[in-house]
Amino acid sequence: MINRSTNVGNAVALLESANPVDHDRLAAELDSSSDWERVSLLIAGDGALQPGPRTTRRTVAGLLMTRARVRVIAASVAAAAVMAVLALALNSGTSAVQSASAKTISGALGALTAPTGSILHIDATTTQISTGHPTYRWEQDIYEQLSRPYLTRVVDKRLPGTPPGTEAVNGMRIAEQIFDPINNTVYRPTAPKPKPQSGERTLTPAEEAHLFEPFMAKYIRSLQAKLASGAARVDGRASVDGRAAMRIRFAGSDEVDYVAADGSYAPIETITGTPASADGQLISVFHAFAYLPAVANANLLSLTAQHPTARIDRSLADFRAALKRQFRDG
Amino acid sequence: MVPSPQADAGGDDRGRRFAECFRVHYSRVLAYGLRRSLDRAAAEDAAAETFLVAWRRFDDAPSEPLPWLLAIARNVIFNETRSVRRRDRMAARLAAERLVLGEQSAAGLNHEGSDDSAANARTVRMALERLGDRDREILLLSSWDGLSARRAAAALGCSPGTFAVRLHRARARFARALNALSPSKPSTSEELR
Repeated sequence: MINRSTNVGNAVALLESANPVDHDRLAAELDSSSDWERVSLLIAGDGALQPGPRTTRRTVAGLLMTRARVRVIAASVAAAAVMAVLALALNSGTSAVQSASAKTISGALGALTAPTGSILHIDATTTQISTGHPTYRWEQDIYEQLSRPYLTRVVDKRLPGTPPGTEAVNGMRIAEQIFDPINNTVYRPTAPKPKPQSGERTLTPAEEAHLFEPFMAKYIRSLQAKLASGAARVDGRASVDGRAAMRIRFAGSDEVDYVAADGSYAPIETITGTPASADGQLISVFHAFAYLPAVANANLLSLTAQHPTARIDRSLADFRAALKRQFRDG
Repeated sequence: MVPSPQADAGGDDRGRRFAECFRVHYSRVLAYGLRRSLDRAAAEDAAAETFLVAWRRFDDAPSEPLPWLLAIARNVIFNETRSVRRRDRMAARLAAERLVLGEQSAAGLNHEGSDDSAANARTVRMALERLGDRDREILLLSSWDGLSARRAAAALGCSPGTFAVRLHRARARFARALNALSPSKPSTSEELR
């Protein structure tokens, strides 16, 4: 039923009921062999990439290239950092301003560099401002393991449509787990073990990092690259979140970053985009930013360790219901 | 050598893994095209082309390939609908659809007390047409393709947090679009973008 007062919940229910394709029925009626034949013919006609032994060799070469590329990129970032600092220092001559700039950029890069075996902890408030739309704000406490199995625990302190205190843990080769603060339950479904397949190759460390590295860790890495690119410059001071900060801008970019002016150079705010851009303007204020030793802080990545009194529910159906209930907006 | 869907462990490993990926996900990719208003033949073409692209890039496939496949399918459909051949086909289909919708609008959308699911489906499609492409895609990935926020975010190449906010907004705009379809209040699509 549709009327002028259709609310969001009804609208979503109506949308779901209007799904024009019943996937299960479609899957049951498919003639997979003829569909496969069509794809096989397309592949066979695609002369540039014939599968077979040649492809296998190419794959191995590709993997080696991937590893090499990662090393090259890592080396490039480090070299660019040195170059950026050197360029600033060399060009500065006697300019105290540019020396201060080089020192700040170098300090900011240093503050973002993770010690081996760390957990990245960020407590952030993010605001999205978009012209013509309401402003959204969400607050999350995030713990990200920077090496395999790349466990991530996110505490949603404030997220539209999600009860405050909802937590989720994800990682490589583990089923997603969530914590419902309302009924003090950890939903930890038992996932079927993947069947080992003979001949299946294992992922390289670079591939694992590419696939599973958590979101904020990737973002911090991209920020490091930008700081090291030579396009960064210090553009005055400001007070952010009650803290004295130095503003960093980048040539050819609307991004603005603030780092602590207390000598730690820890990131305290990052602003990307503009209110008129496609994703609007995202302003993230980091109330906390730290690298923690992973071994001593393993409990920070475990829902059961964080909530020792919580009930453990291993039902997949209950997990799905909780997911729908706790993340109503997805 | 072309990989076989029944390829065993003794065959080419890449081909075997690709065949398994096809077996598990083909119907989802086909459904994706059908849900985006392609007719059956066009959806099958798009699905086949999606898997051709997937085969070329299979070394980069993530361990959970569905969002990756749907991202490829989205590009394939987008590119295909821009081509002259498909554009003509699409234009004819849209013209026919608008005719049906026009008749429905002219007859007046009195949904009060109506349980006509076909009429509701047409109204839903009208409301979806009034949204921007991005809002529509977000809604369909979530409500029709059944992707979790994490997988849908992967398909769109954004973070789950950003996806959650976009979905929140898209749902609100969709509800407004439905409400605006009330005969008492005509609305322009610009209002809803």
